[in-house]
Amino acid sequence: MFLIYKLLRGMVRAIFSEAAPWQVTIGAFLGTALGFLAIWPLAWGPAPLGIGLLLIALVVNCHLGSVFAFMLVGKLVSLALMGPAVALGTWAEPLAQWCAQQPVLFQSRLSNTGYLGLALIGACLAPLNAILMLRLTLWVRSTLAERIKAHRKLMKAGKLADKKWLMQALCWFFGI
Amino acid sequence: MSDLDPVPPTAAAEPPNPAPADPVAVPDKPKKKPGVIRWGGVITILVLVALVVLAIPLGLEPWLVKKVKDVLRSQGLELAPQTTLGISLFGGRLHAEQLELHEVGKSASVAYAVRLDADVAMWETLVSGDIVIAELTLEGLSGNLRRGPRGEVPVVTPPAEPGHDWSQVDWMTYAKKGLEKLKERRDTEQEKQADKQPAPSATGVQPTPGTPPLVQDAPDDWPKSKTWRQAQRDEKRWSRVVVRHLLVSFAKVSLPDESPLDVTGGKLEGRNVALRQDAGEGMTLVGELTTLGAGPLALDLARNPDETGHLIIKAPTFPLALLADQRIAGDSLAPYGPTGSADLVLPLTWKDWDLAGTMTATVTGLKLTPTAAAGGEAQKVATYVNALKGQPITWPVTFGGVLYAPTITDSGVDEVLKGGVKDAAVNYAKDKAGAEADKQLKKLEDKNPAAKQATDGLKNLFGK
Repeated sequence: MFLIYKLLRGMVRAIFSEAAPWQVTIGAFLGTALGFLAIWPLAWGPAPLGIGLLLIALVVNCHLGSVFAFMLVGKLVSLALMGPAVALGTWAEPLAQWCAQQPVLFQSRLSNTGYLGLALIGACLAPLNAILMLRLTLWVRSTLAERIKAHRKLMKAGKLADKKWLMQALCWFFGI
Repeated sequence: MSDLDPVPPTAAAEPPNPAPADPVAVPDKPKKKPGVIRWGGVITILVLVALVVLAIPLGLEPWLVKKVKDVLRSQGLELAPQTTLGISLFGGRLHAEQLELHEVGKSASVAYAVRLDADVAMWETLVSGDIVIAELTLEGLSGNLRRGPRGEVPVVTPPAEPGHDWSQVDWMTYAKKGLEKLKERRDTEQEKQADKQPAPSATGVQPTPGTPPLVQDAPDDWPKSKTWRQAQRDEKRWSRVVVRHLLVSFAKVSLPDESPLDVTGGKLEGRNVALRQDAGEGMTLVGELTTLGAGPLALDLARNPDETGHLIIKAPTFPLALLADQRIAGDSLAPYGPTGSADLVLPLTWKDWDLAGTMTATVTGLKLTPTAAAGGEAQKVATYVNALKGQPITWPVTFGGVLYAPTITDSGVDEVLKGGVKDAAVNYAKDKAGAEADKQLKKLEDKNPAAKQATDGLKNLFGK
């Protein structure tokens, strides 16, 4: 529960942070992709594609909080989607066979139907998440954040004393 | 005043003051647009890389050198103190000078090389899961497998109880048995692997021509999924060593018992040299060796991943006595006691472990000295052959057996008697007749100069 709370707060704070919307968007994209890719399977060793993407996330000025938050969410979701991932990977078996012939993709475990299925799910979800985060960030910053800020101003001015603790908790949670 | 600054309650109670803005107030600085590159991240990565690069020569490389020594020690070998061994992990190089190996606790050298250079293909090693050595050069290699005081062969014979007399053990038979055990173990492993993995699927993407076929495994970490991999690319990493280009120059190699086959020099060049071959990876070994008593030997070996291959041995002055050794020829040649020199070409081919090949040899100086127990037939053959006084004879010998124990399946004595000896006898008679004719012509020329012109014309006409 604490983990879920931390994840949720991380995501929300990304939206309310000082980061530019494109930084949050790229962070969400890279984080989701990393969440569904193998990075360093213990029984296998380093996976070049996952590690390369992680390095890109460190070098590109994206919102790192989003990267790690979405990565963690991706890992949790991928645990729940192991069965469908295998089914999807089996459907895309010719792709797995092609990956077996490409050293970097083979080392990244994409010749395995399970990991390939997860990567495909990640490839679909990453742009979706990125677009969703972009729109959400723009909407929240232009609408919701302004409302909360105005509400808070009024509250501070003493005009709104009702449920003050709730407002304070919300502001703390959103990092405003 | 920012939005987050606390507002005093009294101020909130007062009506807003529409006073004009302070003309000297500095407007808020526009927010700086974030750059595309996170320079902090770049610097962190560079610092980490620098630390790793520094750590390699200071910590990792000495540790690897120690590891190499430990591995050698586990095999009963150790490096001589004068050996200098250096590993450059960053460049993927192993360099050794005055490389000398001896058995633990013994001073006699087992192997010595003036210089060893190994250039590891780092990228290929990382991505293929094999230890790939792009180039391995061994300069001035000497090997000493001479028996020790108890008749033991260095490295090969296991430690035995004190007093065990290894001199009674024939090393060639011992080596054959060892190789037989190796074959059995390999066959068992292959059977186990065949049971473990399902047959390659006929559907899906076919590998591009020249690349290994694909097989599938059920990985341990995700049993419900399956992993496609190129055939013989083991799931276990770095379990295979392959040398893309091998260059060895020999100084001397002494076999356990002094033999004409002791190597006194030569060189060997190989491509894709590996014990376990990847599909689509052809191994070749080409070399020229000089031997103590068997003359020069030219070797040409090609080994294919489908357990087929060829070995062509060319030996222009090979002693027949060696070929007649009972361990190779069994009882087919030994009773004749052949001596002489053979200009031989031995093309051997194999499939799985079965060997086949027919050697064509032109034997000169052949002399048979059959043993008393050899029988009348051998004595008869010897009489015919020895009468030719070493004239060249074509002798076909058929080889068979298995890869690790080649044997002569047909000594070719019958063919020698039917064709080779007859041809040799005819040539011998021709040569003798020619010599006699020359003698007579010479006499005629001395007596009559006009005849000389006629004989010269004849010689020009027939080229002799």
